[in-house]
Amino acid sequence: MKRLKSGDVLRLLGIIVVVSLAFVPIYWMLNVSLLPETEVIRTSPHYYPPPGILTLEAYKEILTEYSVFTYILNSIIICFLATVVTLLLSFSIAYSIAKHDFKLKKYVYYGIIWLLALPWVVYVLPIFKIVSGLGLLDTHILMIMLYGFSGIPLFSWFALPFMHTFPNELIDAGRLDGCSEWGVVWRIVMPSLKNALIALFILRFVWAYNDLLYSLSFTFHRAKMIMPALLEFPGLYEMPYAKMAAGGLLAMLPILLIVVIFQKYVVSGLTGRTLK
Amino acid sequence: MFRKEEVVLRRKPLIFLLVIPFLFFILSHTIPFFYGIGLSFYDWRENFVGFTNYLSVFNDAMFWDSLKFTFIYAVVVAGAMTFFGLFFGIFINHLGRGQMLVKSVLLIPWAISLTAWGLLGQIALSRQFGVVNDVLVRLGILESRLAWLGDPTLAKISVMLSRISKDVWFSALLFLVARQTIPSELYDESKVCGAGPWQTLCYVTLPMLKPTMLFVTTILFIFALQEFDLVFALTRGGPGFATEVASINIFRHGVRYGNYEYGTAVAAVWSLIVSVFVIVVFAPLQRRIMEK
Repeated sequence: MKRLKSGDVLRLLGIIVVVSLAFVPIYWMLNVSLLPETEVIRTSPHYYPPPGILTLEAYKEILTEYSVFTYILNSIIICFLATVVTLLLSFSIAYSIAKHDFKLKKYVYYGIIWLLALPWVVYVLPIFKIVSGLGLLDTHILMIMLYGFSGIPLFSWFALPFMHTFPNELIDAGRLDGCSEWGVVWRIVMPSLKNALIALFILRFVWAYNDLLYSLSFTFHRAKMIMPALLEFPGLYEMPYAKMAAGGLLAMLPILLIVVIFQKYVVSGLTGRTLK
Repeated sequence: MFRKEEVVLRRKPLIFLLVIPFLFFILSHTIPFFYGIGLSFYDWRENFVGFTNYLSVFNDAMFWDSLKFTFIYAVVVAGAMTFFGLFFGIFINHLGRGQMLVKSVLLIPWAISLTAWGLLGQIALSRQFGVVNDVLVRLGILESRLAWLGDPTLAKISVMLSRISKDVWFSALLFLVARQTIPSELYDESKVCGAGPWQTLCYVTLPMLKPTMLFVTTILFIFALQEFDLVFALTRGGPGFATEVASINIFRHGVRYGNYEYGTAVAAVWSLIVSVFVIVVFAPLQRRIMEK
């Protein structure tokens, strides 16, 4: 048998350190969520739930007191449809910037840069005023439009590197075969960039699902999404830590699932590098 | 004749491929934005008041405080995430076979929403019941428990540390992937030239990672300037207004106090400041990346 070298031990140590650093927060949420409220509020916290007092009480309470599943479902439906909208529009914009020549191209590009940097909060007040006049406040359709359209500048920008490296020959072949320009995007570019599409889809979906600003400002009851609902757990006079932790965990389950399944796509979406 | 056809091909689709998709954004966001700027010249009884709201904004010490904290927050968060992300990215790259496991774990903190992260922060940083105080006291680093979220200075530090500790792993992943696309011939060559590990780091790895560093820093800085979720979930801008960032300030005036006109004036000033940043820093950087 080979002797273990000191380098290997250091490596193993490094792996353990990084993995536990990344895992500790979620472990702590799980730990707190499985305790009765009275056992969370103590000066020397339980580092693991003692089997005797381990309970699902917090989950039971939030599921009966709040319609958590409805809120999660609202979030999923809204963010899914919104992401489809964002990606269709963004790919079309990125395609025309990368593969067409026109006079104002530079200005369109800088316009996108400017728009993606403007903070979202500056839109909240005027949009609130306009949509409450239109009676659209707190509707699914409003949230789909808002999350669908608000991602356009950022995701056109993210899609650009993929478009720039897309081979012109394929596009020309499509044009010769009689595709319209939209047909080129829909039938040739989007299927060939499947990996990039998945990557950007996940990025947009996760960001929209996890966003608090718009969901807090525009949904209250009918179209209520899960993020603002989480904030209702801490009361004015009490801090139900176990419920807060349980809610946070339930809310992140769908995202965790997606990230675990599609993890190799996530980074490539940001860096514009196609997968090997 | 052929040219003419080409011109037609290139002109007409632009309307459908570029202008109409963009119109959706303009209708839903840019027009409300300018409507908001218009609104900022009125008072709540819809009387035109000129620059009165803006004068109040400039005289509002709380607005300047929030602005100052926003920039400190963005510089610290973007800087620390780039630095430690780079460090961990290179570190993980040296972990050999185990890095597959590490890689798959790194995205888990990223999947947690900032809202849930803020709630978790409230739990872990609680003065009496929090695990952070407990661990630090047990290790002898602290003598007594600190009010992480109750003291203005500590709260500022807590908000920043909280954000960094969540997303540093994501930036580490970006650097790790970038590091692994550096061709290994460069490392063979530097070995042949007799370069030590530090020289290899300074003359091969870091220069090759420079584009990623620029990209990560600017995008993190822009996201940090927009910060709302974490601060709202962790401290709501408190204690007092110590951790109030610009987004929270606008939200407080406009949504919680119902003072739309004043809120839109703050929003207009804030977007002007961000625009200056885009013109001075972000756009030139983009031009350099584009020309490459």
